[in-house]
Amino acid sequence: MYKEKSGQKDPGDFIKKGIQQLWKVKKGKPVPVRMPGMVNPSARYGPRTRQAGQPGPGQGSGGNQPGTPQVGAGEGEEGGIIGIEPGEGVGEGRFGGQDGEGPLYGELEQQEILRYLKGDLELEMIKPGKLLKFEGYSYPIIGKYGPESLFCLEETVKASFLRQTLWEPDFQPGDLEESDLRYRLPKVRWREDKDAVVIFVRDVSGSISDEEMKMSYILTVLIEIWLKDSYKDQVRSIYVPHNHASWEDSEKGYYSLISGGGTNFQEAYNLILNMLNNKDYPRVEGVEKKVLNSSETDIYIVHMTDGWCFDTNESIKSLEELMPHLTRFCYLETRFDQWDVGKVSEFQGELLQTFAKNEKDGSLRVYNIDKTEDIDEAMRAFFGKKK
Amino acid sequence: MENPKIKVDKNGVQKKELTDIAQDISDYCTENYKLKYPDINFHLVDLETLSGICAAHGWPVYPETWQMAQEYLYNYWGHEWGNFRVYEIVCPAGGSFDKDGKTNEPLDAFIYDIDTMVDTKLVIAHVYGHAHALTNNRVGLKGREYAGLSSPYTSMVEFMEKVEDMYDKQGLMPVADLLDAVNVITSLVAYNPDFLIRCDELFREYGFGEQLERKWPMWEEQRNSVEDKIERALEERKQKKIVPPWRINDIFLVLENNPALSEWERDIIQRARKMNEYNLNTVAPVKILHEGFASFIDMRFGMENTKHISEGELRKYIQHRTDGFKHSPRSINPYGFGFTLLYSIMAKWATGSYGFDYDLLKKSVERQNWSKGMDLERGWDKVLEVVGNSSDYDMIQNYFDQEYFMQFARNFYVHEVERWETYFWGTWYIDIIKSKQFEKVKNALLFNACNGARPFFHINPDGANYKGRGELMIIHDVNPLPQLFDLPREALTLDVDSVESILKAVHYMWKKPVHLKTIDEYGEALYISYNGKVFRESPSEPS
Repeated sequence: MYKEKSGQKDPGDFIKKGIQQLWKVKKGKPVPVRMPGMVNPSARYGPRTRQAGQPGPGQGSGGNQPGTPQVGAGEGEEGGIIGIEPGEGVGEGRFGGQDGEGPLYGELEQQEILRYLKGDLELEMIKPGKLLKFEGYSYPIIGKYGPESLFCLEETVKASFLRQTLWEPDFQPGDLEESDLRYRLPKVRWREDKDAVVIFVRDVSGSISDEEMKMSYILTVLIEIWLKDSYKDQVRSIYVPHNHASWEDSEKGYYSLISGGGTNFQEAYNLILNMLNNKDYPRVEGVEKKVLNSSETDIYIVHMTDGWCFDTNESIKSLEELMPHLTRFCYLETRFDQWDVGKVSEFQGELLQTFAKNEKDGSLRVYNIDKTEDIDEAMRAFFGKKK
Repeated sequence: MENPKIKVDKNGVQKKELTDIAQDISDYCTENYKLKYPDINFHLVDLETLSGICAAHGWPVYPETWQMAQEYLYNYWGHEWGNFRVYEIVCPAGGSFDKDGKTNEPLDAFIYDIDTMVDTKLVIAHVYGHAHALTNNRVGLKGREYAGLSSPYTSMVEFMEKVEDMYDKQGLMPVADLLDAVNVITSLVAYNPDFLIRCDELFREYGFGEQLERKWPMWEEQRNSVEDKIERALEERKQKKIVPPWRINDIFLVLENNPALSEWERDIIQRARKMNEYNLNTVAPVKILHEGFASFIDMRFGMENTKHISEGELRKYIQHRTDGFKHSPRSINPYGFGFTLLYSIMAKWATGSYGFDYDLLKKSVERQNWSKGMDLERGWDKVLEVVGNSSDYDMIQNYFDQEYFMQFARNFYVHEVERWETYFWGTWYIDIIKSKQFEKVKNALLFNACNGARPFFHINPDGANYKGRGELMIIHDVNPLPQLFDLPREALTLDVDSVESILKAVHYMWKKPVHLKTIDEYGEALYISYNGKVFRESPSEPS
């Protein structure tokens, strides 16, 4: 409504995202805290890091074109680089990008990625899980009858005061009657419990290039970050690579795979069915056997492949068995090879035909990726809002 | 003139003890330091209220915007985590005198409640320093005239009511957008008109043609002789439909008169612009002077007054004060810099180290031994004169000399960005110390005091009807700065983010394509155009 009134396409367009930085002392050490916010950029001198209107790094805040003089004070000789230690210069505010120690990785980087996923990609927030867990009792209700152990003196005295001030001519503080007695009644507090399993099915057959492998690893990390944030860290990751055979791998093994061999999708789907039915399945040494229960946990499968397989019909049959147990099945088809561009594999066609219903309700998501840069689009297709 | 009356209250209830103390301090200051200021109401406030007032630039009433909320959080957490401490904040409104010398609006000052008694006493003295500078400084007062508000407090209340009224009638976003646009464009208007007048000759020398000061008329004699010429030229240009008829430094003047704006928009723009200019012109050009003088007053009061401050208290206070004087590696602390500069002025004039005879001395030993006899009154009078008549620019230009540099500023240096590195969250700058020489440091200080190191803009004659299509051409003025401050021309490029937001904001008001003439990283002319959808850059004039 406001957009129509103001007659402008994008209101507030001339405001930029900015960061303000403060320092907080944690365990005796000053730690920088970045507060996200908006900046109203006023006219100022600065470097031309890019052309106007072109995408690229913004200036952030502070900083000048080389040659613009500024004055500071402290130790140091001509030609020396100005450094600053965290916590120094307390007594005035600081802005991000102006003072400080340099880039901050670790926890903050993950937060930045999350902010990007939530804010810029507008991914859909995942709703609470299936189970309710007992959290504790609270005693909000006050009644006239109850067990002796829950007798509440404070409320009883209050009630007697009220009765006396309203009805009795003389006020006597200790005067209690049976109708004054008050008891607290318990109420159970339940917590919505979130619990999820992500199964990364990675096609490692001979037709997969190194670039595709790299891309799949980045996507894996992004998905893990996103789901761990939504499910408050109660997320287990299961790695299932496959070529003509399929097995469960450790995290370390998964990230150092080399492509080779033929392609069978059915093997991988059967392996997951075995997990659901509490049967044994092939796995690498040191990996524990997993048992899944779809009534208690949300199960996500992310299948990354180039689409060329030799058992389309069989694998679709296995998938039909598997689909009712899944919260979401994400299918990523890579077309990095120039011959693949513009083509859709036989398997994908069958998949969309058989599971048209699932695609409608959003439990099946399909995305075809041409280059690594489109990875954020893949995230949007898998976890974004349903169109 | 009667002594000013002081009141101290907390949540509207007057505090008798503190009022007596504050009145005592005020009497002492007006008597001994010759301060002159109106009645003052002190308010003791808690952290929440203080953060709110800081976010509103010192105003107790302010239209609610998103910026205010963000500033509030920054101030609140900054205070909580010990990043900085705001002891006091003086409301820029009020404090004006009648013709008879009586005050018609008292000053409001807000003090943080949890401070210790020593701090509170010295903060009160500090506020008197601010009050004196606020009501006597020529530049600040000119800024008030410039904004043209008879009662700033009432204007702010009216403005706030108007904005809230418009929030209801027009919706939140259009009004908020308009206020943001005004904020961006306010930064295009120069706030140091003195500098512009000083640059007149330079402008003419470099061929900018005639220029007319709208609100800052030239000296009377000059004006009378020029007026006839200008009127004649004006009439000619009106007939030729040249808009604007002369070169205009105040870009708002053109934007306000855009016929495409609706009435409520024009009303909001005019009010918001006035309040913004008031905030800027009264405070920004005299920041160093204000803080320096106020620190000087509380320093003198603490050192000389044994009645109010005991020795133990003084020691504690000095620890706090010296912390507040610290410079940072990347910027100069206005408290410490202003105080030492005013102190050196007082020392020089007290010992008589000024004038023609003194200037002829060349040996430093002779200069040090020179004395006309100690006269503290003479020194203090000079300080009051400087506070009454200078802006930061003037003060640095006139009193930042070799002797001050050797005594107080040996650790000052000029630093420049050597390179920048880009990360996904923004850009990181690595600075290098360029020079520690007196001339370079002084030049850099002057450059940063000149219009707050902000670029200058203007609109040339016929710039508002560019190529006869009603488009707007804004010129980014570079020329006098490299010659004045000995800078490379390429250093004065505009920041890309700010260019984008300037053009978008101007387009939001002008509602037709807008162009900006500026320079690129090689110092060559560059035209950037925005038509509401895309930006276009070209080295030649847009067709």
